[in-house]
Amino acid sequence: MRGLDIRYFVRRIWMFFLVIFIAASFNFLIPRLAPGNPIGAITSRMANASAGIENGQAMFEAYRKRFGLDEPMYVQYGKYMWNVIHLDFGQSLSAYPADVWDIIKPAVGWSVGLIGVSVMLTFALGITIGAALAWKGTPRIVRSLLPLTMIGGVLPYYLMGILLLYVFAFTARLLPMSGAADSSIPVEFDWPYVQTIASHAVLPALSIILTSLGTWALTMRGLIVNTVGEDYMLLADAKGLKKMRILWWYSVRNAIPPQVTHLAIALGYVVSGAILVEIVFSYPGLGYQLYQAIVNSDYTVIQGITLVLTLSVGFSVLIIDLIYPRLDPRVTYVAESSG
Amino acid sequence: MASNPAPNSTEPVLVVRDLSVTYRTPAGPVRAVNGVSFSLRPGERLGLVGESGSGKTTTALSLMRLLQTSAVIEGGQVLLGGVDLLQLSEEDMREARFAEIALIPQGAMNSLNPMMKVGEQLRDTIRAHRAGSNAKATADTDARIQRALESVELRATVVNSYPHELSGGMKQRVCIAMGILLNPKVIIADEPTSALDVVVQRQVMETLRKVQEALGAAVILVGHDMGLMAQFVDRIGVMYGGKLAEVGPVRGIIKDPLHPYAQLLIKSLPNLETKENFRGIPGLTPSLLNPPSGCMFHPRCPQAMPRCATDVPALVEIKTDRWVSCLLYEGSPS
Ligand SMILES: Nc1ncnc2c1ncn2[C@@H]1O[C@H](COP(=O)(O)OP(=O)(O)O)[C@@H](O)[C@H]1O
Ligand code: SF4
Ligand SMILES: [Mg+2]
Repeated sequence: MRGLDIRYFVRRIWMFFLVIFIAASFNFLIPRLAPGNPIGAITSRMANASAGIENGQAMFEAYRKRFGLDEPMYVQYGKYMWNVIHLDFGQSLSAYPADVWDIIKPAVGWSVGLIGVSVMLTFALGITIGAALAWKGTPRIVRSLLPLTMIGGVLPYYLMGILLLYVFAFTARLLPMSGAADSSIPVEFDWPYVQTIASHAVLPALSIILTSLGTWALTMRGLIVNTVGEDYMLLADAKGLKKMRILWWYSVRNAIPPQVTHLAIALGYVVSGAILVEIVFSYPGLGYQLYQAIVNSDYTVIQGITLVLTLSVGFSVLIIDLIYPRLDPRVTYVAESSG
Repeated sequence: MASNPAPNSTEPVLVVRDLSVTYRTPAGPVRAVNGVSFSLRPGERLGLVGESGSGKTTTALSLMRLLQTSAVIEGGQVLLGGVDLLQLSEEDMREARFAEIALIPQGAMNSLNPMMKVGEQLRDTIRAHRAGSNAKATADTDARIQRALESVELRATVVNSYPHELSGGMKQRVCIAMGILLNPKVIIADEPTSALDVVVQRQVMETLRKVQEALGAAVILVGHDMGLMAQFVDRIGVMYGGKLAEVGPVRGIIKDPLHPYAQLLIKSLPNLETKENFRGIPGLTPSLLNPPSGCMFHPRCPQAMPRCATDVPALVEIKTDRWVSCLLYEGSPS
């Protein structure tokens, strides 16, 4: 691939795994560093709760053994890492003996669908609106309406969520209040199922789109305005190109690469920002599951989800790093010979 | 058509009459071009010289109506083959750009779109001026591009390069090739070599001359390097404070400059024989926000007379093809 040295490629992938390894290590360490050992805390809480029960102490010991807490730290660490590689995050504490991965897996699907689609839509809309704002040829009426898209930016995600919920679900009863799909509809790839998924996703997606669109549009407008004084813009005009050609292939084309970097950061940020949106809509994605796990002090699930979030951010940054040379021909990635 | 000089080649191809351009600035209007008139015969090379800020670029860009939105063309005519470009609709003007009057831009280094392959940037120039796109048109476009690249001595494979993969000289050659793609009648080159080193400068100028002669297009070359100018152009227009101080054949002006400013400019050229050092012209460039009364040059003019502070000289032809704007010559027989 042009501009993409194979050694760079390998190194970048290696970096990705290193980041994940470090993240996983912290993920292992932090709960164990907390005073009083949180995993011990929950098992002892269970033990207290069962104090009246016969064999309470035996049960507590059994739990400790079950979760491997009786073993030396390095053995726990080694086992933990080995399991992480196999996407085995152990068993849930609150929904024992359910596997953590079985709780996370469907949540990943819902979150990636909801957030992925919302962010991509926002990205595309933001670029278009930003371009329209910056462009001289935009009709005045359109131009005066566009700043309206920025109003949503003053609200945090979850407040926008509550507002939309109140107006469209609670008052107007146009859309469902919560969840990701109607449980009465069988899970099949057919029209009714697609419909229920879409109708459940509209409001959470809108709260993400409406609150972040303004920032995207404004940044885009700024980047496009910056191209106005460039020498290549003068030549584009001088050549007698049509306005639309100049707008998309000269202005927007030059403004997009920095926006894509912004996209990588935004993806990571939206994942955490959308936690509250998922809670408001009881949308069974990672954010919602994380919230449930925190409420139930379910440390194994919390650990699993944090790691998956790290993984997703690391992965989106990796992808964008790898496609960037395709996006901006001036950027070539070559592994330094000294490295 | 444009490639062989028409039989009535004495008819000027471009006539600029009384062109005035003002920039609106927060500090007030800046009169950057002030009543400029000149004409250009087919195939002729005219140089515009003058110190920085004298209005050369503004003049050149206003001919193609490429000025920024803060600029207002306040008056005048730009007659290209008898049609006033200043009166054309936006769309007609767009059509005329590069097809009738082309620009080789000042910033060679950054004038090509960094995101697009050179070939694509040549192709869109042609496409913007032709309706429809069938297989035959595509083949014709490619052939044109190949011919243009060949005439500027570039390999045909540069179409697959991105601008950053080319040297400054090569980029400027691409711009020249672009300029001749549609056989324009007039080519405006605004300091086309100012960003290049001296050796490359000469080579690029040679190429420009070669393609211009082959095409028979007239050229307006903007620059401040009198040495380079003298080798390239037929006639010179000396600009000062947004006005033409003197216009005439290059030899005449260099041997016998008439306007006091032109005299100082010629004298200030480094003289190779006497190894004289370059001498600047004493005094400051005029403020265009607050232009001097009378003759623009009077605060700096060694030959200024009392009436120079009040009377505005007009550009008049005092000998055959020698135009001067100075009160010293006013009233002398033409
Ligand atoms: N965009 C602009 N806004 C305001 N004034 C300008 C602008 N561009 C040029 N000028 C002014 O117009 C005058 C002529 O500039 P220019 O045509 O660039 O001269 P030259 O090409 O001879 O150096 C200068 O005084 C300059 O300050
Ligand atoms: S008009 Fe007067 S001030 Fe102006 S150039 Fe001629 S002599 Fe000098
Ligand atoms: Mg200039």
